[in-house]
Amino acid sequence: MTGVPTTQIPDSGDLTGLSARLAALARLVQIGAARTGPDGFGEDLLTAASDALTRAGQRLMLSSRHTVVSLAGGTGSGKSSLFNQLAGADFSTVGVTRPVTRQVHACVWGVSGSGPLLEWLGVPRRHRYARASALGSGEQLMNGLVLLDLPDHDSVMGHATDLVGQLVGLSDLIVWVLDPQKYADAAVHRRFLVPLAGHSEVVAVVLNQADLLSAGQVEDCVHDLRRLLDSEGLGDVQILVTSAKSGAGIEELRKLLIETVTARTAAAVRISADVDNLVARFEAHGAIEPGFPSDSLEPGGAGAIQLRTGTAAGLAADFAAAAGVFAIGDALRSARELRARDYVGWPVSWVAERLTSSDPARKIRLGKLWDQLRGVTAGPSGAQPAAIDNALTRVADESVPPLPPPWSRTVRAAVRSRAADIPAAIGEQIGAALPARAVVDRWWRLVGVAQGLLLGCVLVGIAWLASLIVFGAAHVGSGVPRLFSDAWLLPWAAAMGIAGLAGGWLTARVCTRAVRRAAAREAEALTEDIVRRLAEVAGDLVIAPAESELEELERFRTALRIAAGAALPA
Amino acid sequence: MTEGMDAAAAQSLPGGPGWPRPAAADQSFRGAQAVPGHGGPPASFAEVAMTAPVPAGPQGLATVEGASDASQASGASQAGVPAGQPTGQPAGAGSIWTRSAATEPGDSGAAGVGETAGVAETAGAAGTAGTVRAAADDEPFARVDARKLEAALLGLRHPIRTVPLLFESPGVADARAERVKLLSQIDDYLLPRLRQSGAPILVALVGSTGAGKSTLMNSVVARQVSATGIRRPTTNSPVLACHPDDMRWFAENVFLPTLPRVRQQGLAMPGRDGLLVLAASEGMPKGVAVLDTPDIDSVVQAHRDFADQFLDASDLWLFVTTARRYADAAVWEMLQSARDRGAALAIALSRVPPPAAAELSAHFDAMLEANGLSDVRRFIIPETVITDAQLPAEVAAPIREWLADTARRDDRRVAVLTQTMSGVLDTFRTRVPALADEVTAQLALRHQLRETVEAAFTAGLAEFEQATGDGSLLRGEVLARWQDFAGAGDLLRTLAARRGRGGGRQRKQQLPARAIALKGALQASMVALVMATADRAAELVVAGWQRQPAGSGLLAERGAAGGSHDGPTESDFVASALADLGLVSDPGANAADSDPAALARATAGLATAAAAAVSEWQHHVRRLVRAENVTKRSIARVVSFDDEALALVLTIGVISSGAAPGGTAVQGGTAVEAVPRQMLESLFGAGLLRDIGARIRLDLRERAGRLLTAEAERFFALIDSAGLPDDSAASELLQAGEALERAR
Repeated sequence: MTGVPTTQIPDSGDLTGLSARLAALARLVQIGAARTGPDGFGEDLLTAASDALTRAGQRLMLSSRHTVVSLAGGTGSGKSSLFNQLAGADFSTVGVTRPVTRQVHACVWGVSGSGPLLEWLGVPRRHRYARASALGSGEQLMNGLVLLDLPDHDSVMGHATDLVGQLVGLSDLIVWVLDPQKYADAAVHRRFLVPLAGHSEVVAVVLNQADLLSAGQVEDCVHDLRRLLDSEGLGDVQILVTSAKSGAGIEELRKLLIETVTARTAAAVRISADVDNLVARFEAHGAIEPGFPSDSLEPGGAGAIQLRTGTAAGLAADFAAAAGVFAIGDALRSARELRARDYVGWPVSWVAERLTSSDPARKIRLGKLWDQLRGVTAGPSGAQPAAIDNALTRVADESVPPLPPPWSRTVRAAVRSRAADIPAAIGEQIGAALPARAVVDRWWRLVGVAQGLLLGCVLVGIAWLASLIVFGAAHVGSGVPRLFSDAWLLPWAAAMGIAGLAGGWLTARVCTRAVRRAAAREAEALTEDIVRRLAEVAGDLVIAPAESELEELERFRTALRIAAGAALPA
Repeated sequence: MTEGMDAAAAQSLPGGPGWPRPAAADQSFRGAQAVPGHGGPPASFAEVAMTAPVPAGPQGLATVEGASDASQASGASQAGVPAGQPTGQPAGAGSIWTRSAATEPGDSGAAGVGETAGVAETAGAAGTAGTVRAAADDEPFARVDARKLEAALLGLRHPIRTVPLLFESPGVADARAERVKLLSQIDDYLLPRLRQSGAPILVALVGSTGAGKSTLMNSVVARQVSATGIRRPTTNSPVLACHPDDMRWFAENVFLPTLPRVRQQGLAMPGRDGLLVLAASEGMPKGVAVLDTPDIDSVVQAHRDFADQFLDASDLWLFVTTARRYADAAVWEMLQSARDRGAALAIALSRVPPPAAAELSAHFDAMLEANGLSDVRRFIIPETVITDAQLPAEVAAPIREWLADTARRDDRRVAVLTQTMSGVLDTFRTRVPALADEVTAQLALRHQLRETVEAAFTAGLAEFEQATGDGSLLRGEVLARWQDFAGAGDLLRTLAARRGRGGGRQRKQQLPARAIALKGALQASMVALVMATADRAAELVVAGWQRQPAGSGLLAERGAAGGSHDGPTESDFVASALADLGLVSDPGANAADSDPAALARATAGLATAAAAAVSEWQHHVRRLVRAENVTKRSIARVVSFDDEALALVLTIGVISSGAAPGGTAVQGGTAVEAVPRQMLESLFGAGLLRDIGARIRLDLRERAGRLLTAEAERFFALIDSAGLPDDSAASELLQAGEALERAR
């Protein structure tokens, strides 16, 4: 199992692809930052992502010619011995008492341009060593390598652990130096190896101090270590067996370093591994269950997410009910009919009605009603607030498709985002839809005139009849024109009066029916108008905010796909 | 103090049926008591030597020398005190045991000498022993009663076990772990130790992975009993080794009763995880048992939990670390916890490369000192060739002898037991009140959860009251219908003139369609208001709970319960439980309620219930109108209204303004304009209207209150479903803790 290093680093160091992924990650952070909360994007995730972005930006900017490789491990694992072996000189102190290495040491092959990088890594000036002179002697292949000797991650010096955590984050390749005694320590596996699960390409494991074991034991130990790494999702990690003391395996390690350096992709691979990790953590917020029962969503999850179809129409209907649109229509009709009765009605009937019943209704009629109707609907209180509330609740509960954690909440919040403006908007729209004033149709007036004429006709007929009776039948006076005294004209006079009465009554009947039909039409038109206007209100104040939130989710999912490297923009 | 318990157990429960106790143990106790009484180290040693098997004498001598040699060879600075040092510690602790133990301290310094002398005197010591015992009987000991202590522990155990840790909070996970730990310390260590004072001292080998615990164990036993190997972690089930005669102490029903165990047959046999392997070996000294524990820092979490249980059950920890590891943070965390526990402790630094031994041991000693562990017995084991999974005999000898010595010498034995037991009991002083604090916090959490619900629904009711009083109900459809009804003349058409005095009741006439529509609109708007109020209150509660860890825990639990409601039993149960609470009349309608999102909404049955309540209320108004003559007398003399129509007018009047119509102005002038005030005023007398209006509003409020209370009930039920905490749990716990202190 002594690792013969093979090219394991995948050729994914394409920088344009990486920068697109980083840009997408930045978008994810931006979208996520606006949606934190108990079920939202975690602060730690956002911080980790923006840290990674900063780190990646700085790393890519600093030096792409250098590759940062860290030797990390526990106390006494022999990091420093290995470091010295690789560097070819005793740079880092080796000792028996623990912990020895408390500061990070760096050795650079090919110094030029490495200054800012080392500064960025935070390597103290006095712990930087250069192998420039050795470049001529067969080490030119290692040109560009920055080898770090990290402090012990598990020592009693707590700050060293943090420093290691930080530097492990900054390194392009981390070589974990383990020894037979400690290779299964929780301190390494839990804190450092498990979080790198799935990114075997940025980790290598060295089992040092092989000289302490027999060949069989080494085999056994490597086998067990492999099993452990497999269980942590690091199955592809190389395991090298070395002995700093005897020098065994050092060449293989050197070869691994040379390969990493010459490939020049380690930095990019490392960053993309970081992005992969973060994207995996963002994934939960963009995952739409396949087979989700929406009319609008393809089972693959690629389609645009929308509110359920018919949501806007249903909401408009709910708003109409909340505003009592049909009641308004009814009231309008009643009012029109009453108003029209004043013109087209048959005055004789009123008189008859007055005489037969004592209807006090007329006292609070008409003009007042019109004012009241307009007063209600023009004001900002044109709908039942509770009913609007319930309508919004229904939309939030039933029309928002099931979405991953923060989104169902934010979409619901978007549905309600302008709830306070809705009653006023509804009142305004109803006010605008109502006819400006109690209009009196011209034909009502004409009919009114006609009714007046008919009434006059009746009156004339009655007067004529009376005179005929008085002068004609009773022969009261003389010298009365024949027109008023000829008894033979009696039927004519009676006919005139009756015709007037009948005509007026009929006209009233016919016109009232016509008025009723017209009022019904008018009410219907008004209702339709109001419903249309309310649909607009619903669209503007409820559907639009919700849909813009859904679009944001769509953008998030697109960014997620790009960040995952699946679909690069064409 | 602890020895006191032992002694008392030995004396007050002679031959108790449940606890087998070897005669030697009895004697050794008397011997131990005799120490202060007699006053001299040689005498005490003579006593020990007498009770010990004869062949032990020469061995003891040899081992003491061996230990000293080893210590000197290792270059440590302990050559002068190897035997005396461990006994130095109980000097202070011993005074708990007996107030008159003035001679104890002197013992520690002289022990090294005393041992050798004691062995020499073995043969002639029998005579003095008798006098020692007599003196001991006369001595007025301030001993504790082991029974009393046991009773106090049992008394503490119950409140700890039943401590209500029902709600999630930042500290509750710790508190739960603490409870488990307290219980395991009581069950696995304190009670067994009290009941069987004569049991062998249990030495736990504690240490990091690969420190060589198993190797050390095999070396001590002088036989391979525990598997060693290159793989980490090697030991996945603990191995307990003791002398065959001591085996009965570790039988199932006494030691770690909950743990399954196997007796080891033949050589090292790897046990299954979670199984205790018992290995009897003649090679073990009597009176001491060694336990090889799983690693404390291995990748296998189960091992750590398992190891903790053993550590709590043992009397003495032998901490093993290596030259490579001694600066690991994990090592010092463990040592810190050992020190906090107050347990007796010894440390072995193994795999020390001989060339660096001096440097390493100096550095290690410095670290021990810096961590306040300078007086702990420490061994150095050099890196050597390992054969048969054992260290060379001469390397293991110091530890082996030290163990044997601890078992054989009663002062040491007693010192170890005292230190560990009183150390553990000492920690109870702070841990029990801390747990009680957590209980109090739990009660506060429960209260807070209930308060969230109450506040939300109280606010809901207030909202409802305001909405029904400020005219905001008189909008939309209700207003339009009212105007249609009043304006179109239907209202006054329901008025009928009384024909003379004897007109009596008018004929029952059909209510006009517009009035029916108005009535319907009124009812619908009130139901909508109740629904909106209940929805908002439920949402408020859920949002409020989600902000509290306890609340979100409850909701998550409910979600988990609701998520698995495929089984008919589950949903049936939920439905019937809710039906029992009077929440829903139809259990079937509630299936959707097991969905956690439904919790943030009004219950499914509320719409029906609210409609029923509103129409009952409308009935009530009508009955009132009929029963009381609400119309002015002057008007009533002339006209009479239809009850129903009049009730409608009255309702409109009531909801349009909190005061009677014509009273103070209300918000939203439009709403008031809509009600023809003059008509209302002329119909009803202002005073009567105000009076009856108040009654109607009160009735409405009561009905709404009942509905909302029923709505809130499911939240209270959810809180209660976590369990009903006992208000007195905290004080019971504290009292039991105090009782334990008194019993010590």
